[in-house]
Order: sequence, then C-alpha cells, then structure tokens
Amino acid sequence: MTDSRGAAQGRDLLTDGTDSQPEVSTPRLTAVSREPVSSEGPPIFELEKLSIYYGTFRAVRDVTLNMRKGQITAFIGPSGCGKTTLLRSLNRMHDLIPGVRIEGSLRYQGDDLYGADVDPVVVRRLIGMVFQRPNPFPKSIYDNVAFGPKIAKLPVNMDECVEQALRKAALWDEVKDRLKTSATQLSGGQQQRLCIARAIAAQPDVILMDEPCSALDPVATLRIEDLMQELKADYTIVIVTHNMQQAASVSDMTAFFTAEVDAQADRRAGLLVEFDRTEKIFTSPTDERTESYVSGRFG
Amino acid sequence: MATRGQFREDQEMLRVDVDALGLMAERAVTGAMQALLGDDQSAADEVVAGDDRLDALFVVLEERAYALVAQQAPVAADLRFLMSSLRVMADYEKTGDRAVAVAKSALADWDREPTAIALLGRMGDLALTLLGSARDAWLHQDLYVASDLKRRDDVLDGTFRELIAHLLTQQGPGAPSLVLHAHAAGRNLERIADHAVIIGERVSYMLTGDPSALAAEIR
Repeated sequence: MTDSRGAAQGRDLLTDGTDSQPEVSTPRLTAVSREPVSSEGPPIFELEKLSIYYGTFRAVRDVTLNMRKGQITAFIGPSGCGKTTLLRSLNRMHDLIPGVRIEGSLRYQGDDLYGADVDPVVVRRLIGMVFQRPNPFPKSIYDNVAFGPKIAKLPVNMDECVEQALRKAALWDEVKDRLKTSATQLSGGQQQRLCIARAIAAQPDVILMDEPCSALDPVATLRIEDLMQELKADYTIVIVTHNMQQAASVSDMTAFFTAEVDAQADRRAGLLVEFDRTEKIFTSPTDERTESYVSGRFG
Repeated sequence: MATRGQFREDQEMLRVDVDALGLMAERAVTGAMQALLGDDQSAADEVVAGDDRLDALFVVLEERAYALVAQQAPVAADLRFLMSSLRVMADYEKTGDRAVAVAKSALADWDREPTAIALLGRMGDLALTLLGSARDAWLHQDLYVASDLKRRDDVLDGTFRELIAHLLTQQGPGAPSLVLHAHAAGRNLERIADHAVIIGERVSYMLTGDPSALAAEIR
C-alpha cells in the first residue's frame, strides 16, 4: 500500500528542517552513524505485536522483537513460518502487493516505519534487500552498481562509488577490467556479490538478505558468508536462511519461527518461538520446538 | 552421510560404550583398593595391565565421537551430549590412571600402619560409591544423582584431611615412607572422587544447558 503522496513529495516530508546539506535532504529516517558497535548496540528495528495479513489471512502473528545495530540477525524456521514475509515487511516490500497489511508496531530507529509521512522509496534505499536468486539488471556491471545512487541522485563521484561498492562486496578484483560487460555473464556467486554491491552503493544502513546463498555452490556460499562478516562493521544485516549451519556461523542473534494453527483464523500462522543469542539457540535453546528444529527432528 | 535416525542410534551406542569405559575404570579402582588393603600383588599387576585396555577403548570412543561431530554437525542437546561424552570419557581415562597410581603405591614397600590403612579403605569405599553414582548419572541421564555428587564429595575430603592429620603424627624410622605412600594413595583417591564429581557436573550441563554447571567443574 504505497503512500499516495509518492516519492516526489515524500522527500520533503522526510526532511528534518535542520538540514545542513540542502542538495540531499537528510531523511527523517536518519542514516546510522558509523561509530564502533558494542555487542549490545541500540535497537534499529523494534517490532511490537506485529502481525502481517494477506487479505484476511494472518501469515505472521504477534511478533515482538528488537534487532540491534551492527549485528547480524538470522531468521530461521520451517517453510511457511512467515520468516520471509516478516523480512519483507522490514523495508516495506509488501507495499507493492495489494491486500497486504500490517498490524502492531514496527519502528525503525525510533520512527514508525509505516508512518503516513514516511517515503517507501527512502525506506528501500536505507534498508536494502538481496534476494534468493541473484537478479542483476540486464545491463553492464558498472550500470548495475550505479543504478541506486543515480535513482536516489546521491551526490557522489560515480566511478569512486562503484569501485568502493564492488570492493566492499569483494568483487572488484574479479571485474575491474570488464566493468562494461554485461552483468549476466558473471557466475551465480559473482552475480550475488554484484547484487550486494548494488545494495551497498545506495548507501543503506541495513541489508536484508532472503536466503542469499540458496542458489549458490558451497564455495560461493562461503564467500558470501565471509563477506557478511566484513559488512557487519558498516551495516546491520538481517538474513533469512534455511541453512542451519549458516545461521549458526554467521549470525549474532537468531530468531526461530514456526507455523502453528491460529485459533483466531483456524489456519496456520507464523509466530516467533524464540529469539536469543545465536550460541544460546544452538547450544541450549529454551523452547522444545527450537531444540527439535535446530537438531533436525522436524521441519 | 548417516540419517538422523542413525545418528540417534549412534549416540545411544556411544553412551553405553562410554559407560563401558566407566566400568573398566571402576574395576581398576576396585582392584587398586584390593591391592592396597589386602597387600595383593597380583591385583596390582592386573590394574596396571588393564589400563592399556582402558586407554585403547578410550581412543576408539574419542575417534567415534569426533566422527559424529564431523558428520552430523550437532547442535543443541546433540551438541551437548557429544561434547560431554568427550569430557566424560577423558575423566574415566584419568580415573584409570589414578587407579594405576594407587596400585603402584600398593606395590611399594612401606609400613601398613592400621589407622592409615583404615582411613584409606574408607576413602576408597567413598570414591567407589561416587564413581558408581557418576556412572548411573551418565548412563540413565539422572539429573538428581548428577547434582548430588558434589555434596557427597565433601565427606571424602574430610576423611582425606583426617588421614593427613594422622600421618603428621607419625614418628620413627618407618614414618617417612608411610607418609609418602599413604599420602600419595590418599591424594589419588581424592582425585578419583573429583573426576566423579566432574562427571556429575558434566551430566547436569548436558541435561539442562545451564552453563553454571560448567563453572562448577573447574577446580
């Protein structure tokens, strides 16, 4: 449900009035400062009793959790538990799907992410998304990375911006001599790193990843996992994964979801079972359902 | 790679086999006490020879546990079980070594002063009871037995202090060798009991996931 006021008007609505850089408005959804992060960073997402509906069907019910700045949070759980639905709500991807609505509260850096005055376009720049299958545009490698900054009219030296994003995505050395060739010629793993570079180039605070390695071979997967650890210094990462070992090895915090029959609707709805430090989830989870899932007894 | 069902069976077999190691350790302590109290040289020799078999089984079980970790990437209760089994088997192996040390004390030539022998006998009985309970706790995953071991160890420590006080009063030409060997035997029995307590703590952690049990085993 895209806000009817749209992008053009939204940028103004997101200006905080004390803007010292008139050329680029400082969004009200302020960019995260880059100071070093303690293990207990401030909350970046605060979800309270968040439910997500597809029409009348409640897909996710009453999720309450805080995700912290500078941490990697993993969402795990069996298919149909709502983890991807929840991830997509974090940058308002559902706005594009008719009939989807949320209940409860979802705050980003203290602001209501679904507030009437919030521009979803800015939301998606600050909160980037990397999808399950690499989805480069059928353009050159350079144009893929430059796409975000161009659209957002970021005041950057584009060549530098592209190089920096590709370096951060650990792809620069492999493509620096062929920036003008088509991105579709890259391998699957390279394409996925390109998509990460594309997300980074837009200067986000948060990168959401929806099973980013499920279409990749083990070597490419390891590269992405290493990359996540490097990116953690600059970005908050939320990842949905079916790969238990990936959740265990890359994330700081793990949220386990499952699908149970919702008394209200008599249909299965996703709910959060347990949210804790990853090492706790994988050594001594509190809930029996988590224990069964992570040790492979169901799901 | 084996299935999850197979993994359960492998864990069950490992648990039983780790207890077999516990049984060998318990027999070693029994044999060492028989050698010490009954002046039974053949019992002492048997303990020393038996330790090689115990060590051989330990190596086999350790390799099996590593293979399960490598193949199954265990987490949660499975992880705690496998890590605990590695620790528990090491405690049984060390118990065997301590039993050998007691048997060697038995083989040495020293004056078997009656009070010292009686106190060592009491320590041996207590250590064997604790070891038996540690085996029960492990084999039957019994949290109550596991967490009670620590309290019961205090009695044995008291007896050891009594032995030391008694040894310090010894005089005469036989005193130095008596003190040396009786103290060594007492110290080894005390350590055998400690291993039983650590096994109890390890089982507590395995069953509950409560990390304070891990801290309790450090001494």
